[in-house]
Amino acid sequence: MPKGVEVRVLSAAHFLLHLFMWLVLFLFLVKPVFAQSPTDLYTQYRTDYLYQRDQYQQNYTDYLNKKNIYLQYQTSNAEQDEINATKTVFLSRNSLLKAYLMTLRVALDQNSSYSSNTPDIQAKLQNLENWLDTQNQLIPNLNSATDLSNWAKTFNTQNVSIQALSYTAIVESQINLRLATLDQIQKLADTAQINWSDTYNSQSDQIKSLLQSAYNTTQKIQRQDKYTDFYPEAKKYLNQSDTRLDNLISDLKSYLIQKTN
Amino acid sequence: MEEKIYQNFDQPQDNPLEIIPDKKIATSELKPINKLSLSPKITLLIILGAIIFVLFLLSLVITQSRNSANKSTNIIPSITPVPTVTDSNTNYSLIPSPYQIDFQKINNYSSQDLNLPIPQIDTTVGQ
Repeated sequence: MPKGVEVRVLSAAHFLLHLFMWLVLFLFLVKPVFAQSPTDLYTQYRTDYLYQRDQYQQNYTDYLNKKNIYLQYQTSNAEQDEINATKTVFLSRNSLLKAYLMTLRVALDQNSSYSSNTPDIQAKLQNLENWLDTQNQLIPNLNSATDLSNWAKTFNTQNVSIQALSYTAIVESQINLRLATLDQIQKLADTAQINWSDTYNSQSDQIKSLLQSAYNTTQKIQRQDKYTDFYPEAKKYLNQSDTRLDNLISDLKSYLIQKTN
Repeated sequence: MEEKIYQNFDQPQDNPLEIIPDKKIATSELKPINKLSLSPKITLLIILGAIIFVLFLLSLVITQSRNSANKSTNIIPSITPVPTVTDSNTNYSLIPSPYQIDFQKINNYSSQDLNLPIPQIDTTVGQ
């Protein structure tokens, strides 16, 4: 090999070796970024929701003041102030509801594997979040009291779905937690080698049946103009399931204590 | 009664030609120079000020005496007694130690329920 070519090959190899070393050094220095756990994300979204709630309360108080001023003086300036304050409340209220729905959606990630209904509810929550986002782009274009009134009617129709889905998500989250607890009870019993299949199966079936009844209450068809509150009925089934779950936990405790003796 | 038409030289005061100094002037000259003449309004003001000052002093004294009385009658709060009987479900010591943590988690499942306040919104805005 001619000497010039040899020198070039050597310098290229030298360069590649340097490059490789820098690359290795870089990989060692950079720490990997892990995905946030559902609990972290829930805490973050919850904080944002509480902030949005404070913002809404401030804007709502301001709106009430402007409304009172307009009712008192009936001037065009006061009317314009009231329109602007109303628009701010609309925006703030949508942001608040969006933050709430997001928090609920993320909260459902915990124990989501215990119910096949959870992904569907999460998808519906996402759709409502998108609707609220779209509305916040339209609200700045509302310029008269008539525009505001029409939009308020549209919102109230959609609010029935928002409320129904919110309570469905709350019920679903409670169902999933109880199903997860039931599963943990069985796992602990298996680990402790407790033979209680008869006791467990009968109690477990009853609990699952009550949880299904709680879910069924959420599926009632809502009126278009008014939200029908199903949560008290769902809560009644959830409380009944809690009583049976507590009994099962007491039984498990007895079996575990017997295991020691 | 007959009019006296003569001049009594023994009594110079009766001399009509003599200029008698004004009595009022003479008496004013006798007053001490440093004595202040106060109008009734100022006197009233001073009296009222004095009353206010006395009331202020009284209120101070009463407040002090009340405070000291309250301090002496303050009841030291006693420590809330701790119940001696505990819930049987929360007593984990009877459970074999390898299962205690898992059992505790299961037993406290209800504390993991969603703690999210429902938004309170006004739906009549803009209508």
